[in-house]
Parts: sequence; structure tokens; C-alpha cells
Amino acid sequence: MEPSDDYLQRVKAEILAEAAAAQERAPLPRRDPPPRGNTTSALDACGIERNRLDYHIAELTGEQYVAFVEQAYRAILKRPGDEAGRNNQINHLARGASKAEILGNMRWSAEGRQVGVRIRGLLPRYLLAKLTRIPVVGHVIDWFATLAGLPVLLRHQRSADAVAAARFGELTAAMRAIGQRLDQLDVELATAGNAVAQLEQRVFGSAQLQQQPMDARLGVVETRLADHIRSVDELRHFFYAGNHWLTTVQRNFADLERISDEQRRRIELLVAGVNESPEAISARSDRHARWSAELGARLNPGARVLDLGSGDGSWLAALAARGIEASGIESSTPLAQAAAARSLAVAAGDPLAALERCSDGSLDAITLSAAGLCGGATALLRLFDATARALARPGWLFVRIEAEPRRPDSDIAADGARWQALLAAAGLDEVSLIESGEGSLVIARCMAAVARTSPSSQ
Amino acid sequence: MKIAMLVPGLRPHDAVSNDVRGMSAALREDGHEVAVFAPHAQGVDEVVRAPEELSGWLDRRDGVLVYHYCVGWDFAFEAMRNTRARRVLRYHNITPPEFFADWSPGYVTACAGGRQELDGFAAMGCDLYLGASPYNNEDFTRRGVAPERCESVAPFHEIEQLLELRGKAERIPQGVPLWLTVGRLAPNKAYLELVDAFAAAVALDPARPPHLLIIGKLDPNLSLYGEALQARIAGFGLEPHITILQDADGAELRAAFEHATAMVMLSRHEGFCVPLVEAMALGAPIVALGSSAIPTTVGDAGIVWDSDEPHLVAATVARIGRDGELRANLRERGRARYADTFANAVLAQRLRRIMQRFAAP
Repeated sequence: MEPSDDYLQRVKAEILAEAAAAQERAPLPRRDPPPRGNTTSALDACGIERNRLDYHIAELTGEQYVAFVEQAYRAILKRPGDEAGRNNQINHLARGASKAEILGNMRWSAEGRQVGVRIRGLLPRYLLAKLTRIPVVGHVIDWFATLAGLPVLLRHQRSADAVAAARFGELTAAMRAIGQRLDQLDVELATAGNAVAQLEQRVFGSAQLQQQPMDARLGVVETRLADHIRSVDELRHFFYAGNHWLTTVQRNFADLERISDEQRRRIELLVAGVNESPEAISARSDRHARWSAELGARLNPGARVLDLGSGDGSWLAALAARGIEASGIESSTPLAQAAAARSLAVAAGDPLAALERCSDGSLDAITLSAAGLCGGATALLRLFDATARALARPGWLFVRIEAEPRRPDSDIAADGARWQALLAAAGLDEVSLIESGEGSLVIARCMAAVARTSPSSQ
Repeated sequence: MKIAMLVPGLRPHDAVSNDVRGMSAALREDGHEVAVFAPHAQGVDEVVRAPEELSGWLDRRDGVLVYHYCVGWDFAFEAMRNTRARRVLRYHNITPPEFFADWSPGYVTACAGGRQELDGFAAMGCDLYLGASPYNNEDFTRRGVAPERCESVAPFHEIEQLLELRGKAERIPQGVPLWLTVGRLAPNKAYLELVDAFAAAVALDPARPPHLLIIGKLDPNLSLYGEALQARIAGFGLEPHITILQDADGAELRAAFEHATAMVMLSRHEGFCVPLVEAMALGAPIVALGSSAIPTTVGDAGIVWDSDEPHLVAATVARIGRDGELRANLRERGRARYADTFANAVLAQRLRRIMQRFAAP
């Protein structure tokens, strides 16, 4: 044993003796055992059943939209939903994800696995939902699943028909009962009329005088009966019309979705074709050279730049030629593949989502090549939030306004002056607009401090 | 060589995430092409791909798939089983479920599920079982894996960044002996037993009682354990002498280590225990229970006992507090062990030597 270890051994022996003496001198007071799990109530202060780990999928799919997502958080992750996560799940729903897919994503996330809730009936539905996400194969599976589900849909339709017919039968029976009741009333009225007549004859001898109001009352009853019968006819007509309308709406929605998908594919192919014409390439190269000079004046070689909506990557090539470390995200898969084939760092994906995954202060500049990406208020807010977080200080935001934007459907796609105003209003400084015949470039600097999240130890 | 890192998730200041990033950086420095695959990633400076892209990216037999195994994950299990590349199981350990009995049925289920995969991975015959500690490798050698297939490299960490920070001590108790412990508030970390030991220390010197600073977060799913901890503290009447910081940042962590009389770690189960290495680097003397991987992590750089008897732990911290020579000796040992064994450069060198076995297909 080395001398240093001897030293520690000696110290430990001394401590052992001190501990024994301390135990004699100051024994610990008696302590109560800790509370155990089975002593707590089923619901905690947040209204969450923490000890319940077994559900059936039907229990979690009854609610809709926000209520569905919040219920899933509380059942699967045993906590209320956080704003970002809840919005993410709602966005998935809005994009057409099934409830089973949302539940499955939460259940088999790292956090969900840690909680370990069992949801009977979820796994096969989740697997099917995931299979339909596979490119090409998933589309085919989706078709087959839909075809396979047709008998179920028909069964549901027949079931609905049966329910409606049953309700109709109930209504008819009710009306028949009303009619019978009215018949009874008629009999009673007639009896009463006879009795009145007899009474009149016997007491006053004025039967004719009493008969008139009774006739009028009988007429009212007959009118009401006729109204009821007419209502039943109208109800039956409305039911048939509603059923027909629903069928038409379903067919129209299916047609619209198919046409929308086809149009999207055509637009992507057309955009790719137009961008690759020699005239377009030549004009773009000149424009990019001028604009990249503007960037070069503000950034040092080796600066880290993220380009959103990179198209075929020609803008990235211009940046790279200036020694800037640039990478890009393009939502069109054919364009992204074309850029990748040219050895440019362009990946296919959602540009705003990619920006949101960048770490704090990790970028020297962000270029927005497809201004039409931010056509809505939500997208603009996401862009500004993520930009303020991901840019270093100082950092630069460049918005390229093409003369012929790739997404002309967006109202600010080609409006440089409006972008200038928006960036200034968002708190960026040194906002400038460089205009030319073939488009314009909006440049803004980000200087404001950003709150950083605090790290934890483990 | 193409190396894929597969991990259940990446987030800032997380031990497994730090290891993934550190390993990736070290392997890239050696000229390897490294890509990280994870279903979730937030706030980390690393390009992360979706796990579904893994099979397309790593489609050659001369590549290496490194899976960071820290939780049950059937996708990763299938990926390891079906890959054509060579397989490295980076094992961070999974807490045995019995620690969570009576506290969280969900944790019991999740931990049991995670540990059930141990048998499958052992039978899979991975090319390398890379534990975060020799203790972790015992989970596989006990299941019949040949020892020559097992290596250990301590987790890469962020201690260099911690050393560059300026300490922020506004919330750190000062002027009294300071017990410090760092780690999430979980039953295997034995916080109830720590409070017992601390109560013994207060009873030893009621005129100048020490202060216990706990830095760690409580998962809401372990709220029962949090309630039990508060009840234990209240049972001893120790509320004025114990501070729990669930939102400490790096600067406060650094200040806590600098002001600590001792870092006290009575945890029953650790796969490695990075906070102990942080204590070594930042000069906090270590007092620990010699359970699981803790003896091999601490080595001769702290006082490790086989018992957590409260008076023994209290007497140890009290001795460190009044014995300047012992305090300086332990600090010197800690700093030396960190520099010689656990600095990221040392870990990178060891990882490089181990990965040389994959140089030729």
C-alpha cells in the first residue's frame, strides 16, 4: 500500500472511532416511515390519475381536437400538456394525422416509455398509421387499408340507416299513438256531446246552442291532427335530403383532396423545370453574385449561414464561393435532390422546423430564400422567434425577394417593402431594402439580448 | 469509416446526450464520418437525423452502429439486430425497478422493460459492449458475454465548460459547513438516508449546524417520493437547514462545488455518476457510499464507506470541515484523478484505442 493510501486508511480509522463516540453521545430521534403510494388519492392536485396505467383506446379517443390532446397528455405522460408540445400535436391533427398516431407517438416517446402506460388496442392502429408514412409503399398500404376498411364503412352506413329507420319508426309509432289518442278524444267528445245534448234536452232544452262550441273544438282538434301528420312528412323529407347532402359532401371532399395532391406534384415539377432553364440559371447567377456581395460585406469567411427554402441550391453555391459555411433546407424533394446531386449541403424538409431545431446563438446569419414560406401570421411569428434565438449577436437576417417568387399564392412573397416594415416592427435594427429589376433583398441585424434556459445538473 | 450514433433523445445538460456529442466529436477528429440518429432533439448543437433514416445511411458492412442503451426501446433493439454494420452497445445502465416500488408504478414498468432487453442484447453477440464503467459491463459478463468483448470508457461530459464559468453564489448558503449533493430526486439516490445522516450532523453540533444543499430536479411522476422527502425533513425539523434547488444553472453549480465542505453521495445505484467527476474537477472533497459503480469512479480520490450509517457520514464530513490537511489532500487527489482519468482528452484517447479494432473490416 502506498503512503498516501496509508494516510487515508489512518484518517478513516479515526473517523470510525469518532462516529462510534458520536452515536453514543447524540443518538438520532425516532423517525416516521415515509408515506407510501397506496395512501394517496386517485387524482392529484392537477386532476391526473397518476396511479392508473391501463386504458382502452376508446377511453382516449372520444374527445376532439384540443380536449383530445390534453386528455392524451394527462393519461399517457401524467402531466398537463406544455404549450409547445400541445401545439405540435394539434398541428399533426390539422395535417391529417390519426388519433392513434398521436397517441402512439406520445406513448412510445422517451417520456412516454418512462411513464409506461398500457393502452389496449393502440399498437396495431399505431403500426398501421406508421406504415402509411413510408414513401410510395405507405401510399399503397393506405389505399389497401382504405379499401379493406370499405366493408366497415358500409357497415357503419347501414348501421346509421338502421338507427335512422328505427328513429323514424319510433316517430311513426308516436304519431300513431297520438292519432289513437285523438280518436279516443273524438269518442269522448262525441260522448260528451251526447251527454251535453241529453243534458240540454233534459235541463234547458237548448241543444243547438251547446252544439256549436263543441263543433268548433272538434274542428281545432282535427286541424292539429292534420298539422302533426304534415310535420311527419316534412321530417321524413328532411332526413332523406340530409342523407343525400352528406354523401355528396363526402364525394366532393375526396375529389378535392385528389386534385390538390395532383396540383402540388405538378407545381413542384414545373418549378424544377423553370428553375433549370439556361435563361433562369444565367439571370439567377448574376443576381446571386450581387446579393452574395452584400452578405460578404457583413460576414467573415467561415461564418455559419442557414438558408431556408434553398431551391436548386444556386444561392448556396454563391455563398460557398465566398468562403461562407452555408447549408440549406428545401421543402420540395425534387429540388433538394437536384441540389444534393450537385454536392451542395441542401436537405429536404420543413425549413421553419429545421430552424427551430438549431441551438441558441449557433448561426451568424439566416437567409430566407423563399419569402412565401412565411405567408401567414403563425409562420412569421415562428420565423421571428426562432431567428431571435438561433442568431449569434450580432447576427443577420437576409430575406431574398425574387421578382418571380416560387410561391406566388402568398401575399408577401414579392413585397420587399412590406418585409422591411415587418422586420423593423419585430425589433431588428439596421433594416435596409436593396431593390433591383429582378427582385430585392431585405437585410436586418439582430442585436437584442435573448433569455437563455438554465442548465441542470442531471 | 461511417459511424452511426443511435440514442433515444438529445437534450441540453443531460449525461447521455453529452456522451453522444463528446463521442461524436472525438470520432470525427479521427476522420470518421459520424451521424447522430434520435427521435427527439432540442437545444443541442448537433445535426440530428430521424431514426427511420438509419438503415439507408448505414448500409455497409464496414460501418459501425453505436447504440446508447439507457432505456427500453424496441426500435433500437430491432435496428441492432437487423443491421449489416458492426454493432457497439454503449451501455449507460438502467436503474433496477425495485427502487421505484411504492413510489411510481410507471417507473417500475419502464425500468423493468428496459432491463428485460439486457438478455436480448447479451444473446445478440454485439462486436463490442462499451460500458460507461466496469460495473456496467458486469450486467453482460454475468449473462455469458466474453470479457474480451467488453470495454469501458467513462462518459464524455461538459466539465470543461463548467470550469470556464464564473460562479454565481447568491443562492448558495455560506458561512456554515456546507453539505452538497447533486442528482435528480429519485429513490435510488437515497435522499431519505442522506437526510438521516444530515440530521445526525446537526445533532452533533447544534450550536453551529451545517447546511445541506440538494441540486436536482424532481420528476412529477415521482411526486410521492418528493412528498416523502419533505416529510422526512419536517420530521427532523430541518427545514431551515436544507435547501433544494431544482433550477440551478451552470454558474450556480460551479459556486456550489466551490463552497461545499464535501460532496456527499449516498446513492444505491449509479452506472457511473458524473457529479462525482464534477466534484473532483472543481475541488469538492467526496464522501460516498461504495455502491454500484461509485467505488470505481471515485478510486482513491475520496472517502468511500461500505455503510451509510448516519453518524459515520456525519463524522466524516465534520472531520473534513475541521481538518485543513485532509481537505487539501482530498482536493489534490480529486483534481489529479480528473486530469489523469476523466478529462475529455483522456477519454478520447481511450476511445480511439478501443475503436481501432474496427479499422479493418
